Amino acid sequence: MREADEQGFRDFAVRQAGVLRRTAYLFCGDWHTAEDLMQASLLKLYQAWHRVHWRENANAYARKVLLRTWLDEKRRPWRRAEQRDGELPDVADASADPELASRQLWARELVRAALLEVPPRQRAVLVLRYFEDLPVNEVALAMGCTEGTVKSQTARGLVALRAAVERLEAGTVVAS
Amino acid sequence: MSEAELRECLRDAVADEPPLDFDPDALIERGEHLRKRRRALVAVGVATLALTATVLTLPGVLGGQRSAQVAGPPLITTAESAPSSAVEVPGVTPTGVPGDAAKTARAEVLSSRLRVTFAKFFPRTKVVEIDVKEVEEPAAGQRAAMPMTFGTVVFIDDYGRAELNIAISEQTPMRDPVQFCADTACEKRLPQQDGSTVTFGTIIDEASGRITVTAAHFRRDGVLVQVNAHNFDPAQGTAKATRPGPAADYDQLLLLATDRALTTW
Repeated sequence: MREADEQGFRDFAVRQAGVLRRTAYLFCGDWHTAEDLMQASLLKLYQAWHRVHWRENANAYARKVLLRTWLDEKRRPWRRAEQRDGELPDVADASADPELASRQLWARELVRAALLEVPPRQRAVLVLRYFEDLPVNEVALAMGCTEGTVKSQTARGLVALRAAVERLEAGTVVAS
Repeated sequence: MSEAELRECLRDAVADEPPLDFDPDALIERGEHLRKRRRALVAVGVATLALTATVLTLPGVLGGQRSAQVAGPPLITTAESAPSSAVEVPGVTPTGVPGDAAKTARAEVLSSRLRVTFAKFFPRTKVVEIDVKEVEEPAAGQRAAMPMTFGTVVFIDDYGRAELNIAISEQTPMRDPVQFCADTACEKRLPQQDGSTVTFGTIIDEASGRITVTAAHFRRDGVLVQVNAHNFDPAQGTAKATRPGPAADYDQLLLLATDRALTTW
């Protein structure tokens, strides 16, 4: 790779690493796996950078690679996680305001746990639309499907997420 | 849960993000390593494919070269032979090639020579097929089977389809003029300038009217060349004569039998 291209990739990777890791975390629900997904995606991107860098929207390509990497990873036998029933650990942040921290923690864990109950592709659509704030056409590009499919997956995902939240709020705690 | 609440909750969900320890140089180094490894794998794959293709195609290429040698420019002249039988023949002697490959190569060379010689002595005919092969003929009183080169020329002349048979072998006690005349009704014997002899014979089947004339050249180097012509088509298995006389006359048989291009190695 030429030096200019390499520098371009380095800048892009530094700029996008955090974003990709956060998105990956919402996909998989685990920071370590998210870190691996981000690294693997950037590695794939590096291999294809000579084809990608001239494109206007490298970010969209990176999201697509990340999504594919996660879906591929999820299909692997050793990634097939079983559904586990149990109490979420009570993790308190002693440095924060106890009341605020408790409320944030509850909301965070609630959504995270509920999100993990949503089927993978619907989960991906929800993350891309409501976390990345992408328009439907860009989500469709990242997902490799039509805009109509994105809309229907969004609707189904929201229904599934709300149902999961209701279950969790009712006291049935489900974690990945 | 509204969409706005969902957005806010998703942002909160990543609020406890651990510090990012990302080293782009390490990633690039790993990428380069993977790229080199992939290139090496591709190179090894290509080399393996090329090697496999070479191994698989080599016999065909060598076969083609042998054919090319057979069809190559004229190199050998039969300087020792009588003037009437001197003819330029193509090809080289494929010595040093082991086993069946050597047999095949010799047969191809002889086939090519036979084609040239035949065209010269039978100008008004159209050759349909020339087949030459080396066979092992069991010989009485010999420990091992005697090798013999057997050629067939199928051609079409004014009377139709005909066939000539040429047998080239080493002379043995069973393949001498006396034995030849014991099997065949010898008609005449022509001494050649080089001291060799050509004996003509005829085999007649009274019942079917089939006639085979033969010329046997007992050469001084121990080679026996025998040429047969028929008034029927042996390949078709015809029981009766298909033409007034044999497909070759004595002169043509003599020319073929004495041609030095037709010999053994």
